[in-house]
Amino acid sequence: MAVRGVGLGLRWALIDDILQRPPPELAWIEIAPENFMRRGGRFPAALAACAARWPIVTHGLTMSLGGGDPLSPEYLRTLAEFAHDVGTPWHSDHLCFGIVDGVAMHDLLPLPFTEEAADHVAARVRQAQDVLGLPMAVENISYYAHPGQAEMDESDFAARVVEKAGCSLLLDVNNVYVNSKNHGFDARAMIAKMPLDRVVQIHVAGHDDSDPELVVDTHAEPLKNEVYDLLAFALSKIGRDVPVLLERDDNFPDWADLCAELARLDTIVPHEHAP
Amino acid sequence: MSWIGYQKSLCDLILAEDAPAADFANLGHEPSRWKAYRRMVRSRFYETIDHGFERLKNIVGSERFHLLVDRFLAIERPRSIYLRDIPGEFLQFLERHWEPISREHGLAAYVLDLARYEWAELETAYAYEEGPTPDVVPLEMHRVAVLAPAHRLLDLEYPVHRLGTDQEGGALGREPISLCLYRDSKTHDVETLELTPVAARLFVLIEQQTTALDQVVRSAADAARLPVDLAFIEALSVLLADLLERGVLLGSLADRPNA
Repeated sequence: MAVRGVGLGLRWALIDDILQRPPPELAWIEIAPENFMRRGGRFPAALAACAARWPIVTHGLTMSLGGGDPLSPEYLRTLAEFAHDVGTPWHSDHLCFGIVDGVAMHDLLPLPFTEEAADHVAARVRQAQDVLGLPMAVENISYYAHPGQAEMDESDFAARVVEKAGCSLLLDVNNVYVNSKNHGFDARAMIAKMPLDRVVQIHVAGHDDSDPELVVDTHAEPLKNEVYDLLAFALSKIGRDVPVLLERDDNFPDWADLCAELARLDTIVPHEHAP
Repeated sequence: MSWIGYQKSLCDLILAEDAPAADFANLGHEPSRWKAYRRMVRSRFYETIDHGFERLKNIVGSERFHLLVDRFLAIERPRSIYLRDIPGEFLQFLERHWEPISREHGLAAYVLDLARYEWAELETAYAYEEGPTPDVVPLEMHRVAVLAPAHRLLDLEYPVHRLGTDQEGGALGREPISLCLYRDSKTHDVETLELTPVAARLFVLIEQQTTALDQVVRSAADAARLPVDLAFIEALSVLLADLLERGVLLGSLADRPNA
């Protein structure tokens, strides 16, 4: 099953609606493998029901691509087996760090935009791809602070990583929007500079802009019009069929409202058909 | 500061019990932005550990409970890449430091048992059956019996499993008890069985998967100084039938008679 069109992140709060009342626009499912790996009970049963119906794409949270600790061989081995079982066409994780001296922070912490950091990440992506036996994509994160002096901007950092790693880009449009507000740059210009020829998947989500000092990427609000517009812009610049995922992780709305968001996204996402 | 040094500093500042804004200044951006990371990371850990210990948090009180979480984050720190494991790490922290913690925060003796019980519920719900399923045949006394993998045995000093979600445990008296928690294979719900001393001994021996069930029964009866008479055998039959019905007991190992 090819991954195209609009997808939704599988969260436990949504599972019954996804399985019992899926909207026609829902074309694929994304999962965080850490929520399913080495776990019994309800979760594998729900995942199996979804996998029978939709393509599954894995999106990891804890590889810590920019971290100083060695990549965990046990994690990679378990992930490789899991990814193979669910048949994901690629695996993605974030341009961040999350593990320090064996301490798992369970968040996406920002890397400095430097050549040294980009090359460090690229080497680890290559290592991970070798173990996983899968192509990888890296995702631009929302960052609220930058450590020290940046040598380049976010798009050049992402471009250097994907070029040196030989991997793809998961372009998170909402993250670019949030970063543009928090760091004062033009979101469209930043997207235009991203390595768009490497984009294999797009994320969109809601954010909280109630604090004038800091816009927060919450995945707990409806998509804002500005993000729909930025998505349309990104897709026009990419110029090809790229699957788009709606991330909703908290403060879940009525299922009908979430379906309406998927339907609106579906009007924006191109629908090329396989030859 | 090297960028690896920056990672260590940020981690320290996020997990420390107290982190003045000035301490973030060395990281190279407005301290308020770094403090946002501190809030986000810590709120995720609070939420995860709160979820794991709902009854404990209600009884201890949210503020006092989060002081315990703060201490855990500062001195032991979360290690697992699986967020669902973090409540278990918090429990290990409580067990290792129980005496000073209970003294400092005035915690009743049953609180640690309640933490153990709540974690056992979660762990049973998540339990992962690794490895090939053993070849199981209908239960036979001369073969090794097999328990469902998703179960946990607990020996507690206080019957904390009887506490409701909104119940105070102040009057809970000491009453040593053995429990078996298991995951229903159809509903995935976690159920709790109170075990008699003989049944508890049976479970422990069955779990070891080294001895045929008839020898396990004899050992358990001997330990309890009970004769294996008609009454014992009738009670045993009822127990085994109930465990098979519940799916806690799967049957017997096919290929290990008289192991």
